[in-house]
Amino acid sequence: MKGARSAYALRSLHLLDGIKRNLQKDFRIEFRNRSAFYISVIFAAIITISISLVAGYTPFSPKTHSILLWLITFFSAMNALPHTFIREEEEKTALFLMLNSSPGDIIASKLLFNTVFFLIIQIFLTPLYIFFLQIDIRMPAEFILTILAGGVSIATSATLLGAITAKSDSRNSLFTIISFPILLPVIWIAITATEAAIAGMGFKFGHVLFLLAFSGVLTEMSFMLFKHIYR
Amino acid sequence: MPVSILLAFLYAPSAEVLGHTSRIIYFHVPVGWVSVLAFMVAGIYSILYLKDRGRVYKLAETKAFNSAVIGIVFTVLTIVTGSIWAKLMWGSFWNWDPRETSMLILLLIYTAYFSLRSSITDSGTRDRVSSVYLIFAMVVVPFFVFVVPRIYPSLHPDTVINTDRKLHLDGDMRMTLFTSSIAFTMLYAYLFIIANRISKASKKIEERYDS
Amino acid sequence: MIRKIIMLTAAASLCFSVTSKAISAERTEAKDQPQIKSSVEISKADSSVVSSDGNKQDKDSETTTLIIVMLVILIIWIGVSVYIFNLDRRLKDVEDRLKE
Repeated sequence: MKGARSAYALRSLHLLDGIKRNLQKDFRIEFRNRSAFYISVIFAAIITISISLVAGYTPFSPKTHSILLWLITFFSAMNALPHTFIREEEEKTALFLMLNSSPGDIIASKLLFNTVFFLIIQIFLTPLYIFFLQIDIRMPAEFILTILAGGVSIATSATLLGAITAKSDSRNSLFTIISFPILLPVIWIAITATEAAIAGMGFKFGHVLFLLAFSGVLTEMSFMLFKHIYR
Repeated sequence: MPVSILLAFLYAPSAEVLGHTSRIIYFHVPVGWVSVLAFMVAGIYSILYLKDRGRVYKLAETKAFNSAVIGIVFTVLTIVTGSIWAKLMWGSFWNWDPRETSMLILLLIYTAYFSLRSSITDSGTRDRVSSVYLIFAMVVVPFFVFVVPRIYPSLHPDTVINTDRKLHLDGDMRMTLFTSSIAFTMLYAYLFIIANRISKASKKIEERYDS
Repeated sequence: MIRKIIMLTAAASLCFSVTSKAISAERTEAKDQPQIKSSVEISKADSSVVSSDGNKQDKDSETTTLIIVMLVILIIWIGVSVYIFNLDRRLKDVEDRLKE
């Protein structure tokens, strides 16, 4: 019994070591070559500025604001999230990664990296949108919670889909095609919850819980299925 | 199938408000049911393929693909027939009703599956990756097909599984609907079996050429 | 292949015969009912013209809806037969390769 417990503890330590190592590597690479980050943020900025320019002083309803915000978030995610795995394939480091780390290490570190990376993008994206489109948010704390929950949900769902896309030949356009049906519940629920937070219609706790639960389910599915992709 | 057609036109009465257009229910609903069934069967075969790798369940991935092909045909038919009925009943072809949306999502998932499959050249990778995607998408489909129409208000009539635990249909209509559903399920099974036999024969020929 | 075409044609013709029987049953009902209603129409002189036209329009619209229902079934059959022809083409390829 004691032997089994110590073996389990040892495996956990190895897993944590592996995750830490891969995370450090990913953050270091991303910090040196910030192309994915710049592309996503500038893309979101361009769309936000275009909308603001065209709309002028036209007031949008809370629903319109939440739809536009989540559309911009979604398409920024489509630019930002697949590159963690696609970069491994393009730079031919995928084989080294498979030999060096277990599938559990790889998917855990990529999930954490994508989540943190996308939350950082959202930290830039959301205030930019609020600034240019002059939204009056009635429930700011609930609004922030919804944005974060939605971001976590999108990032965790998109990680395995990025791994799937990296194995195909037509990578960039395929990611959006395969992600949209899976992410549609997230966007739908996030839009409703964000609209309620902007308009002050009461905190949609159930919706936020759904977003987190959805990301939990897809994280679990990612752990179970990743070893079949990266072998 | 001829029995269900006869029942639909001669035995079942037309509905109170809907009139004769309610007879579409005996074809539209079973076709929709088969499109979801085909997806579930494809998902199950994908799980078997990943678990087994062709040791016991040979051609599991091919069977998943065949089921998906039948599923997309029936999904398109569901959407087309549903749109015609929607135009008659609700005045427009598309209303973003939760059930209509769920069928559209199913169609998008099928389309994404086929796009993914066709974009990978290596057959081993293709089979594995497309199976993973189908299983991943299985998480989303029950939410759209079973949960959302029961939460959000829908233009569609009461579902089969509802809070009253009863079918809100007259006896004649209920019998006709069940007969039609069984007929279409048997049609799906027949098409599935034939497609699998063709795939098996093609595989044998390929193996013969390779050896 | 020929057997499949014959089976599909038989199924489609059965479908059409059933629906045309339903439509003709509706039309005979329409012919019968005005005789009953006409006695009512004689007593209600004001509404007689309107009601007979209304009945005829109802029956016409019912016929139209039945035709649309038939069209829906036809679309389903066309979709299924397209898939069956596709399967048949694959089977023909396999048979040709077997002969080689």
